[in-house]
Amino acid sequence: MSTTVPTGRRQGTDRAAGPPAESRRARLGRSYRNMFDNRLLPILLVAPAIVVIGGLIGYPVIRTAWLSFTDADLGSLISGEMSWVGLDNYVDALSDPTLRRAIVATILFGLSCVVGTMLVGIAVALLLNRAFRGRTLLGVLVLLPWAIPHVAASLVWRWIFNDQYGVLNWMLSSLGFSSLDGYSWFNNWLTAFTVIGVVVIWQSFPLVSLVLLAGLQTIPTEVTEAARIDGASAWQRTRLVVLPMLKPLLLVLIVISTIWDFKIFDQIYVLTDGGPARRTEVLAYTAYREAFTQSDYGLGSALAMILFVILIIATLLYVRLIRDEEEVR
Amino acid sequence: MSAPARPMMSTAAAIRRRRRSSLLTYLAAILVGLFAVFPLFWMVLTSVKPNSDIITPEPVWWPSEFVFDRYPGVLDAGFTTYLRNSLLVAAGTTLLGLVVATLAGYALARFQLPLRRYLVLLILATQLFPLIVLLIPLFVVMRNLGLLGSLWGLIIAYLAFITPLTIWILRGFFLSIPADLEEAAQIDGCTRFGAMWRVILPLAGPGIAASAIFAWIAAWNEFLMALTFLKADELRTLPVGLAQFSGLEQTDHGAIMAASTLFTIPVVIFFLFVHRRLTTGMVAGAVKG
Amino acid sequence: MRTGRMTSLTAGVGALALLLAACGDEGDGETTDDTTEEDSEDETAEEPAGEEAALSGDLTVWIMEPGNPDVQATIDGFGEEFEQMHEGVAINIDYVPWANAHDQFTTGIAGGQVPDLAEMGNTWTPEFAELGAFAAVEPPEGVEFVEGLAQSATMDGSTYGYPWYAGARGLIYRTDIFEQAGVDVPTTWEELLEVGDTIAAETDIAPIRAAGGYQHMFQPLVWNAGGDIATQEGDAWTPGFDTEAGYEALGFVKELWDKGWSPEGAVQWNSVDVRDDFTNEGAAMMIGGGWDLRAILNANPDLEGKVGTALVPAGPAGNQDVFAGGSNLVVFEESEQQELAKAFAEFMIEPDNAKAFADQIGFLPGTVAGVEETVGGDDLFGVFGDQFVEHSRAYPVAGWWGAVEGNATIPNEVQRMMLGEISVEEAAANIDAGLADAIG
Repeated sequence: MSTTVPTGRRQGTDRAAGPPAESRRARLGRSYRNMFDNRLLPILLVAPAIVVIGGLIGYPVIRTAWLSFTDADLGSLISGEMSWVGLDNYVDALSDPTLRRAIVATILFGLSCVVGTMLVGIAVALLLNRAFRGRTLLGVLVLLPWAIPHVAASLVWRWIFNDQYGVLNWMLSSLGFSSLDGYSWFNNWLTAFTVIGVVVIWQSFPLVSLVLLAGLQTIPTEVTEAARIDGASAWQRTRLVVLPMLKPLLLVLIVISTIWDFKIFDQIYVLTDGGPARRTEVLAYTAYREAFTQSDYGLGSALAMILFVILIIATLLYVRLIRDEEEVR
Repeated sequence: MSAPARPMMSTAAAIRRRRRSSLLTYLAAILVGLFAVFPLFWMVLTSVKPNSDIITPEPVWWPSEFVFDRYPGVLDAGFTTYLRNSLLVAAGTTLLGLVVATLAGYALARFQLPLRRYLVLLILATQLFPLIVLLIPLFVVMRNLGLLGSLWGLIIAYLAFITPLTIWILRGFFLSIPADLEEAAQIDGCTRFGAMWRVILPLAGPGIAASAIFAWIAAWNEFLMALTFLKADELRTLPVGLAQFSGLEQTDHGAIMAASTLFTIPVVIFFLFVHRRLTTGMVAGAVKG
Repeated sequence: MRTGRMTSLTAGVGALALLLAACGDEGDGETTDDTTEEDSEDETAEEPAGEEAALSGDLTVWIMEPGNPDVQATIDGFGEEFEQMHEGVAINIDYVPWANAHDQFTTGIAGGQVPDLAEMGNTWTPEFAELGAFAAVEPPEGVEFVEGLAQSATMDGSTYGYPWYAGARGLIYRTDIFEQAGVDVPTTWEELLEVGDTIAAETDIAPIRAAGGYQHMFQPLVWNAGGDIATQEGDAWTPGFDTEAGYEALGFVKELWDKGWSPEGAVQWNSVDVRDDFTNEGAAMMIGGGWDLRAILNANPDLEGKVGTALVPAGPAGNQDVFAGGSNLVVFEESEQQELAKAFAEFMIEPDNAKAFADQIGFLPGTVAGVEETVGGDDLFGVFGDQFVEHSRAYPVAGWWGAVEGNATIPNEVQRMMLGEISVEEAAANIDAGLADAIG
């Protein structure tokens, strides 16, 4: 390292100016350098990120909040002329049955997806933590759904769930559910949501499993072994020993899943397009639709803000949970 | 092994129990494996079946003949252009995002910045923002800047969600590297920036790789913004091109599956190579905080 | 809040047009020359001078996906022929699926990313023309265009599109099945139901499908029952589904559905699904146009000689009108290549080209002369001409209708009615509420 001294110095301190002369100037240079290093440099380093975050997130969020109180539409959006309509858009969003349904659906569907993802994810992680032949292979296979782009995954599942030629209906009816022969999953909002949920869970459980598996492997075997010797069954060991140790990780995963699953758009766009009769719309989709296909940017913004608020509330609840947990300890 | 704990249980019973449990394990493993892989298998299989094997109420498990000519057809339908666009956008976003995020992640890990605590919280909070909240104003800004209908516009818009995530991951990595290293380098005469550039960055290589992969995948898969910002066919990225293609060929299931396969396979291969970095990156980012 | 929208919209359009002119350079990216670039105001003045000399550059054209590779080849052929006629011109044709075309146009216009020239469904033309999205054009003189099409492209005395082709749906049926069941072609709704019962009993093919996403099949039924989708008095529109005629029309859809002749999934079927089903010999009858019949015979040559066509059955009011559909070619205000776009549009609607194309696709040319020529023709396809000339009408010619289609207002309620979630009367009331909302 010592060989790099001269070059490092010359390159880094050109603003300290001049050839090295007497020690006083050098000291002065160093103090400039210190100031640069400790005061200016960090700000310079963070500046691009501040610009990006401020310009691409901060401004748009404030702008959307503003738009949500206006009647912005195609023309006014561009000319900048729009009228302030107060809470009209929010009143619309809460009183129109379709929009209200989308709000409720966002919450219920999002929660179901989080629960489903966590359950499948935990189960698969526990499975992968057992010793059996082919475990490595399974670990890789499980990864695949995560890798597939949402649009492609949705198209594949749409084909699997096809009413006439779908392989799933055939499987189910050969298993004895003959009423499912030709069953149309996308006709009914509940079954349509089920399909969307399956696709969402299919794509998000691998992350949960793999992160949890990494966590599981950090648990010393002595702990579980001790519980076993104390006569705890496998289920008790998992529930009472293993999962509590993974709690911090689980909470993080739940937060991440919540943030992702409440924002679903791609899968709905491909699988149902919000149908039947706008019954499988969630807020991200409804906001897009009102804004960009109905050109009602004011209402679209209001719906987007509502989604935002829901996410904030959900996250605050989790943070609260985590904090309570810590206090108890 | 468990004999001392349960003296009553006979060895035979214990063996039977263990055998049953391992049988269950294998059964579960097979089910999970099928759940994970079957859709992919079915996608690829459908794409090479003749139509008569596709449009049939009773599924055909092995095609009567293999039909590969859908693939050139799909490539002709614009997929080479979509691929090029997706590569450009993903590469551009990853590069720009990483530069910004590495600098900021380092600063947030090492310096006593004013309001640092809040900055870090804010960056985490941006993950909460649904894209749709950003979409409408960004759409207008891009339009006024003349960036709608250009891949640059999309790259810039993607930075909105790529930068915070990568800053977060990278900050975690920088925190895990002991600060003594830079101090040593500085004592040896490196400037602060020099110490970061020459000593810490190489050590953070795995972290940078992990966040690059995250950024790449996020940009590669993004659909909503690409759908809204780009209208011309020659500018579409793969997800939008694929969705559009499925609309055009809504009844040609084989072609849709061939297009999906073309889109999916490179990502799957890429994933198999990088997944380890991905999970460690995730854990590091999530746990160090 | 919705009532004030129109005024703020018109106010915005002026500014929009200005802005469009100011930043309209991103549309197709690689425009090679600036020679034909003009301000929108003086384009009409220069038109006579420009003609042959100035035509060069790239032209982006959006055409609705015709659902048939041969037709696509014909359109591509027009582009190639035009390129050969004019040195330095490159025609780039993108095909847009009908299903998401409305979204594509709305976002495209909002974002200033529009093609130079596009095929525009006649029911959408007024909506976007009202926004100021299209440039005024002057269709060739001395040609009489089909009323429904020309009407949709005219606003405040200006013309915003070249009528390209038109069409109307009729009844397409399987002659072999009818023979087997021993039934005649139904001419009224009651006969249709009776014939259906017989076919269901005598054969193992479904008589006809009720499809919840096939709006052009069920929307005209309200006319057949003696009502109207919406009636106009002055500038005011009144929705017309929550009426006796509306109940009869929706009730008929419900009755067809309740017969159990359609699979569950048909709730979501659109016209393409219905056509594919008929092609796969799933049903003995369907409501469809000449373009459907062409596509069917193309995809399943076995059906050649086994299909017949007839006017659609008449409703209780004795009316058998269907929707007069069609497309205009529109030039976008924001295009930098308006002259070139107009030249190519005029080339596409030249009588020989338009007729060749319309014949191939199974539509009628957009000119009266062309329709008459076609009507006199073919046994099989002549019916569509009769249906079009004698028994068809347009949906409300108004900007708000595009929103109704874009929002799928009517199909959404019909689907809910088919699923048994709401009654016929509720569906009618909901549809009227949706229409009223769109009318504003």
